[in-house]
Amino acid sequence: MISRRRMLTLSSLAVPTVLLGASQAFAQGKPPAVLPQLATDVLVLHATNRGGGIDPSLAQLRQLKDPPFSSYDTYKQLSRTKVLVSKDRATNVGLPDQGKLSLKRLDVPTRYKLGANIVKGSGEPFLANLEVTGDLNDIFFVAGQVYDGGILVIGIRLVAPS
Amino acid sequence: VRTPTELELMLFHDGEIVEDGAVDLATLPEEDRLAVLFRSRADEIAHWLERAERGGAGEPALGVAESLAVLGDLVRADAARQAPFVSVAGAVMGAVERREVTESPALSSVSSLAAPVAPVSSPPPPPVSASWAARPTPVRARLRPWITGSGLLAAAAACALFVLHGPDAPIGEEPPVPAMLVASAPSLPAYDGSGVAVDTVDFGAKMGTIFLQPGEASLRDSVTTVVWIRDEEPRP
Repeated sequence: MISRRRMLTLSSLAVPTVLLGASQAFAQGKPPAVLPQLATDVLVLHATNRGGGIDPSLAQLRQLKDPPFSSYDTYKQLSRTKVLVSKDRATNVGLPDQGKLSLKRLDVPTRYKLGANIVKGSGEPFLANLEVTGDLNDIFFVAGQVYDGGILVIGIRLVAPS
Repeated sequence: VRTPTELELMLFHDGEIVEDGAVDLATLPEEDRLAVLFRSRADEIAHWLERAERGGAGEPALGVAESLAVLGDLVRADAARQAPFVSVAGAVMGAVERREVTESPALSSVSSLAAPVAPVSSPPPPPVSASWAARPTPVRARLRPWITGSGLLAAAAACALFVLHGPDAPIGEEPPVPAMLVASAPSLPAYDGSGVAVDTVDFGAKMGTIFLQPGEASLRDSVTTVVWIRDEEPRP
């Protein structure tokens, strides 16, 4: 039987490519309409093991109660920002350590593809060239950057611009 | 005999010895010249080591011990540096496995089939919601009849094997795993799980892991993708 641990854990030594989204639309035969403009809802959390529990404003994020997030017992919301992302230039979102998260929409005809980079406040790159593909309202997380006795957890959700 | 350097000792013990005259040091960059151990020098080192082992070299014998001690300290320091991450990763993996116990094995294995399946095309955009909760999808609900059927098929196969092999079959061996039967079922529909797919990521010199966090079956949630990077504590 395929080891699920092996399945879920991909080493950085080999640049991983995870093809997750076998399509719901394969039977429907036509590509979905793609919005000309795309926004992202960027949620920055601070995870620690200080016994404080999960911020009530994050109650809807049931993901925080399960692994890998459950290795921390305290989550606080530090910021929430909705920004437009375009193909022409990167959109920067400031991070608590004075670093920045850069987001850019990548040119894919039928799906939403996003590029993301994170540079720490010290100038050191933390995440380089992350490219993800998803649909509207999909959420993904980038976690692990050491910050103030814990780590930063950044949730990024693809949304329509309001 | 000149006391060998740590690099020379390492080259000697690794057997990286070059015959005299085989390499022209003048043609090598300066930093590479130190990494060449000629046969004549290796013979000197062998002689020096023999003296050191006999205790006749006095101070050089202490030098070998010191070299080994330094090496041991380096190994222990590196292990200690990695220990916190190992414990966190172990806790995470342990929690994942504990969660697996509560899930149907067939369902877990179907989820694990998601990785090698390439997306064919894209689903239509769902209605936009202000909620941060994961978007509900009917994946598991639609797979449930197949999973149940496959489970029954697996049970029937296990019974058939027991009948065929009788009591001679080894007791300790597990029956055929339902997951394999599910995987080989030709009529099983392709996994159409939704969620964000990571096309590429560069962790650089850091260690990184991509978690595919399963959604709640009762809520019919989609998979949540988590890119988890091991970060170093900032140096003071």
